[in-house]
Amino acid sequence: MDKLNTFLTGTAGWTADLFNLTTRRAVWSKAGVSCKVMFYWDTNNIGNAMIQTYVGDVALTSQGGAEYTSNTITSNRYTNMMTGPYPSYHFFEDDNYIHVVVERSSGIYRHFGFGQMNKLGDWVGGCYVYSGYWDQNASYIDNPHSIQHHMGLHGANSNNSTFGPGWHAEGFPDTVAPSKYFRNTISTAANDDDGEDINNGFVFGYMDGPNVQFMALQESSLNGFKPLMPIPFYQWYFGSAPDRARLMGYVPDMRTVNMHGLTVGQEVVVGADTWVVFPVVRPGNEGLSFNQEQSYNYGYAYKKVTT
Amino acid sequence: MAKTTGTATSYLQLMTEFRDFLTGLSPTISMTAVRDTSTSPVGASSPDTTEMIFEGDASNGGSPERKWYFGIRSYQDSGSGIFGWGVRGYTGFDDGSPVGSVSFDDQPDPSPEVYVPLQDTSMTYWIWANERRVVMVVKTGTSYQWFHAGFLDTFATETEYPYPLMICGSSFANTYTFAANNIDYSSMIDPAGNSTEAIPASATSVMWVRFTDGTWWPIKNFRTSGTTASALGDRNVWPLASFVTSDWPTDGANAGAVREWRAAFYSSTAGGTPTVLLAQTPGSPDDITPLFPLTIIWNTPSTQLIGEISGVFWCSSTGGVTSEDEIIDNAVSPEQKYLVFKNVHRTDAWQFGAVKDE
Repeated sequence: MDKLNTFLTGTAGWTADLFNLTTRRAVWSKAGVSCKVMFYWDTNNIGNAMIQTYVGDVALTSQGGAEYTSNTITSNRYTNMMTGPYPSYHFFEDDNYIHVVVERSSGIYRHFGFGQMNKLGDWVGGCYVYSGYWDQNASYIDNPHSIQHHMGLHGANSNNSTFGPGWHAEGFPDTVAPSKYFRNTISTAANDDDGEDINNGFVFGYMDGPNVQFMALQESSLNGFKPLMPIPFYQWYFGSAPDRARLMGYVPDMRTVNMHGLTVGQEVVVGADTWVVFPVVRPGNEGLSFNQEQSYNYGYAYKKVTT
Repeated sequence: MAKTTGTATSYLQLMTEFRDFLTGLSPTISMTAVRDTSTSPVGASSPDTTEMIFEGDASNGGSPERKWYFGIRSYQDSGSGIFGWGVRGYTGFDDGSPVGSVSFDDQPDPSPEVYVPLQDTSMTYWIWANERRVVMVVKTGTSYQWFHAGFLDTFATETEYPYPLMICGSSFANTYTFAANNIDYSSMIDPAGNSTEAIPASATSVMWVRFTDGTWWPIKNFRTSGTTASALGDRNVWPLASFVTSDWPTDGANAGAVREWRAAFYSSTAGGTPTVLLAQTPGSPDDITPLFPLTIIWNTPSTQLIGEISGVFWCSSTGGVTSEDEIIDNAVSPEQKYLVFKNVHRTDAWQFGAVKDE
């Protein structure tokens, strides 16, 4: 966390409203990002959440407009198995986002981050935050299709969706005002710390949703071209028949990718851009059960921006 | 890029309007009518069959920088109210000796024929052309007929994919009137055929793409099965594409949580209810209708992207958008305009497309 704070408050240009390694809390903010983002951690897990106003070196729910009603890390969105030491880490930032990839132990990865989405339209909000939770239960750990996992901007539908990616939007159609937050499809009603609705959304990453078919895309047989698919944020309103969805925007400079034919950390050049690919947790073969983390060919690609 | 719109008094007069527009674009866009029988019909199937074969030159339009060819010919069965154009793509032009002795069907490497059902009366049309392709939409009664001839925007260089010609009409058959409402009467938004075969020799389709192996491959998302559209997953157009799900596990995709676009935003029955409707996003001055580029997806030899149909998009009509509406992408400067049309006779919210209006 210290390295992340140093990076964020350096060339990345974020403000640390709070950074305390003793209380294990941090709040970062930046002009152009519609929320502040709070991190809070213990020796194994790193929680993150959106807040509206920074109050002081106090727990999440004592901050203004907190996304969650609990201060317990494991009750909220969090990245697990982060005891370390970490063989490697990667920070990707540009303008209004930070995307973090941590090799939590040799060959096994975690993804978390936050920033301001590339919004479609002119609604209020746009801040997003996500973490990397991989369920360690033997029934799920080697099955990346399990909806128990919430790794990055994944799109998993239901089950512990309180862990899923969240984003900020106010006054959006088909929401009950006042409300401030969306979260990747929540199967049961949830509220933020102000008692307002958490609205239903989908971020279509590798797990579920209409874009999941892109995860089947392999390299071109003509030239090896590897599609890197944008990750959209959608509202998904269940209160009408049929459901009603609205495209809200895209995460900047982060894509999903089928890693077939790619190696971990490989750089992929597309036009003038260079992307770096990582597995969701660890490459693994379809159907292989060995009670360790694996994620088949699912991967994320991050744009490498150097200045 | 060039555009025209107007009214033609018949399917035959539309041919001359089409020809005059395309051949009048020089030097900006090079298009030549290398065969034109509009004043001296040579067709064998009908005394009033008119043929036109066009040679485009994409030398100034980016990859592939080469000439390209397609032909249109009229057909009619007036007793059944059937009028229209047949369309083929070619890799060259051979007029033969004596001139005109090489038929429409025997031009170099002809594609299978697709059809654009029309009327023998007044019709409004829109035509967009650039160096690499021609797109046309024609209003026939309450339906909108679609036409495409030209190169895809491929994800490959000219060396890798030298001749990515794609032709598309509104029907795979010349037996439909403009007013038919058959399920498999469906154009590039959701192309159809009436066969299950992917093998060109026996396949039917409203869309064909010439691939690097020299084969014209059918592109179709579905065929008719009773009263429903039965998805076909071989070579499709996204976003209403169907993937070959049996390929997914070994490809690393999520076979256990399939909610592909077609499964979510589409119903296989006209007037049916999809899982979800894609509504407009709040915007200013107008709410935003998201556009998604029509993209050719191949499942053989591996699941991969082949290319995009230049300037043509899928969109939803949820929120009140309807045919001939102009929608604006104000995220770019200057604002980009698009014209919305429905997929032939369909009125379902998931059956609309938009053409970049430039």
